[in-house]
Amino acid sequence: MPGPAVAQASAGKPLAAEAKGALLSPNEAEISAILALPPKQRVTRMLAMSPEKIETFRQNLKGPQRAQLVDKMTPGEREVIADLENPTKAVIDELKEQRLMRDVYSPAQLQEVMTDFWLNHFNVFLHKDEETPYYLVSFERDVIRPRALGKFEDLLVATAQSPAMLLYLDNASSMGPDSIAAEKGKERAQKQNKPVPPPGLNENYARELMELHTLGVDDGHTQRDVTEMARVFTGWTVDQPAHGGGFLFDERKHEPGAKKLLGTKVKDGGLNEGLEMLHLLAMRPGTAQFLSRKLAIRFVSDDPPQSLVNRMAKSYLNSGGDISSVLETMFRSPEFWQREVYRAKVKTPLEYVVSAVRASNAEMDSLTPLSNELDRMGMPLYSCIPPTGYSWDAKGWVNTGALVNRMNFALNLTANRVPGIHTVWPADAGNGELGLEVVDPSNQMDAAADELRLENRLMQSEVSDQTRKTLLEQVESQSETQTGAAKAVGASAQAINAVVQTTGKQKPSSPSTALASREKQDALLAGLLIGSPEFQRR
Amino acid sequence: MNLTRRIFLRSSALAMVGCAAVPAFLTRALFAESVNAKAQGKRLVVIFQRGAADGLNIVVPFKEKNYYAMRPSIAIPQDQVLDLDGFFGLHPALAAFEPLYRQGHLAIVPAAGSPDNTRSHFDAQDYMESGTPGNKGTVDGWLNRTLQAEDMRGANQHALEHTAFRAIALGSQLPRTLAGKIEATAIGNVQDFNVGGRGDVSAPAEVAFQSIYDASSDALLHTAGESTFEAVKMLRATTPAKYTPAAGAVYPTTPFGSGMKQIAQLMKANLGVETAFTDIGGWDTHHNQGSVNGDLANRLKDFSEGISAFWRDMGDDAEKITLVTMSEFGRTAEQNGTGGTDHGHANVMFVLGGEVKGGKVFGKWPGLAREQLNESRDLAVTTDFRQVLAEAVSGTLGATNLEFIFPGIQLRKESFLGLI
Repeated sequence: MPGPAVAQASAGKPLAAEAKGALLSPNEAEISAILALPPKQRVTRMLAMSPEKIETFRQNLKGPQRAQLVDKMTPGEREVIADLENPTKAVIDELKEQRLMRDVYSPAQLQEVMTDFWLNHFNVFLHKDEETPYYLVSFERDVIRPRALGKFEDLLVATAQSPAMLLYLDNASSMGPDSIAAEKGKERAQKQNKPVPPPGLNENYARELMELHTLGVDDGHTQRDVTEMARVFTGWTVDQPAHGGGFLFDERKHEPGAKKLLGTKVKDGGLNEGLEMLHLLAMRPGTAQFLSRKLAIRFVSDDPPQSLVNRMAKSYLNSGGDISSVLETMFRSPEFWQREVYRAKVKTPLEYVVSAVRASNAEMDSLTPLSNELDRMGMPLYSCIPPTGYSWDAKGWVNTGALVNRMNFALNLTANRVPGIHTVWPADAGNGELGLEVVDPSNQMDAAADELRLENRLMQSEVSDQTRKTLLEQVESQSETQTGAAKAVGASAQAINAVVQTTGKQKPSSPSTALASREKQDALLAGLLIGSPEFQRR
Repeated sequence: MNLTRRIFLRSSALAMVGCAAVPAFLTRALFAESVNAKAQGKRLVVIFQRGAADGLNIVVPFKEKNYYAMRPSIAIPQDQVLDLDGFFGLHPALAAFEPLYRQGHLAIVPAAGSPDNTRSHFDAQDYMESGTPGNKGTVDGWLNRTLQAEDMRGANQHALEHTAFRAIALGSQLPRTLAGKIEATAIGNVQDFNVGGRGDVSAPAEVAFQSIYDASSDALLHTAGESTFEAVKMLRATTPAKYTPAAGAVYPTTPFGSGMKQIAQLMKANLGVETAFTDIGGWDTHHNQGSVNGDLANRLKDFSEGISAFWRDMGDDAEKITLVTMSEFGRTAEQNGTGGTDHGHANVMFVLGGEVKGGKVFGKWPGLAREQLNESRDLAVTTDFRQVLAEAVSGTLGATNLEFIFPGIQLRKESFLGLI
């Protein structure tokens, strides 16, 4: 009778759990004692706890105690507590923030654009496993950014040996079927009478290396090439990922023997086999074409002219795969400057959000809201799951939900409803370039002037006459609503209006109100401009 | 600009939903034309249990001796399960499922899963959502390909008439399942799907944006703008803030419950929803998952009550709905050292629907004896998850081109389990 026996066992479980809990977790009195300490000492006590104890301490805190724990702490102390509670989150948040910070503020924009391009090209998914967030920091900082404008082969080798990529595309766990490690495994399994483990070749990296990183899908390589490539890269692994180790070539996992692939023969050479193949791939004309086309799609149009791609590919091969040379060739090509490709690209969500913040000259205390916005727009940072990376094609980014999000972001940003981000719109409320002149907000002439000023500030080129007309009509209807509201306020307001009207030159009695409504008008104008079709393109 | 049939249809339908005095049947009649004839207004709901749910404690094989031997402290006692057929029983927290099963609407496939042996959440979810186990290069999701296949079946004029709500995902991000060529809309919260603020009428900013996009000569953005404002208006006309579920439909006050409620709300509003997706997390029970009560039980209560409230809420329309649930893999047959279970292999799938031949447990049961287990540790897969999905899509959305939807596997109707 399994029933009663099980019931007994499960009845026994809570006792065991309680006993275990008591051993690890601070009791009520201990929690109260810690909470009663001054902020600095609370931090010290928390720092002295083991990770397990911090975990149970957190769990045992009841509602208001959570607030008490960080009460009166400095922002720095609060951050220490937050980091202790969830170190991975701290790493992820900072990774995303530094990225947005550079995208918005960096004076070296091409460097950032190319870092973004290669991070997407060599996509690694943030949540692949527990170690990935930590390895991604180094992947971006040490692998991608320093090589973003250098030789492609250097970049390719660095990514191939990066723990982030080795884990993401599973090469770290790939094992040669006839390797020493596999043979040992088989012996052990036989001794213990266990079923023989699978040979352990993982083709994931080998396939994506060719299809996504270098040659593209259409270069005519076969499944046999993929399998042979996987054999070449056996043994390329990570030294103790749980301890943050680096690249390791594990000879014992490496498949012995020569390999035949892509029309050539690689002789038995351990680590060098992989390096040889990366060199061969980096220098193939197919790679030159594939990368040139992708760059042209990024910079020029969704369907770039073949003549441009050819010129870039030639430059790639002539320069030994020098990324800067290829870009220079592109920038100097007549196709790059043709009218048809002017503003032919729709901004990706990242480009949209960053360009909106840059154009607004916004002050930022926190970048998390921007990162959340990208989640909403379907382009969460570092979180593209498939190894393809995000699409550079316009169509994918323009759809119903996307436009709703973009328009609302524009309105929220300009009206300062995005927490931690501050924008200033009227010229006279900012650096005072137009002095402190107070303008009647219902004056159409001023609204038109404001629109032009904001247009110059925000847009790369003029908006259409229709867009401008609509913007002004919008401002007009808003000020009518305001006038209507003012009338309803009562006799005193009317009296003031009358005084203003008769005296003519006299300023409104409440300049701050006028300024506020002008600010509101300008914020709305700015929001409509940033949400307009014109601003969606680059 | 041409006044196409599509534009006419859409704008007239829109004009009607915008006008409260028009009887509902008229709006419905207009929309009836815009759904695929073959599908006849049938709808598919897909629910992903992220984190690998413990199938063996969800649909309990209480007659398996080894079940109790392998799970001394977390097994569900035989006298506590909701007996289905003398061999399997539902976890008691799934009480809300019992009537659906008894009424013959709920079918259960207890040893379903992927042929790929990966135990990585990431890879397994990726494979299940793309519908191509073992192949990471697949860019689109199986549900998006299902809709692509529908359009390819010569129903081109219908393809143009779909609304922005044809494929919806409740949540801030579009799931991989719905990624692809067919436009799908992710909605975090129905009430926030607006431009410039909530309310019964268009916000001034919405009016301004609409006229800017209307006048834009940028074809791509002009068209996108058109469908956007249409969708916003359609949704507003359903007064989402005032939604009241049908009598007796009590949704759990959880993110999942709220998601299911919003799916019902969107479907009942005749917005042209053909398929909806949502997910529910918290299944990765490595520690203290509990037995009759505990973490897993709480999840199951939320899960089953959300689904049964949805079913009740849909009323007569539920007849045309098929709902299918999945999770990336199951968990170890044996409990681990911390009162939980680790990553395993096969898992249970539920299929609920008006045309589902439910009230039955489907597929071959592989057994829990050591030699019957996958790699001596997990429940073996006897039904490929794509088989279940293929049956759901062909029975609901009329899909025939199964090689396109699930490339790399020969799925034939003759080998279907007979779920629908």
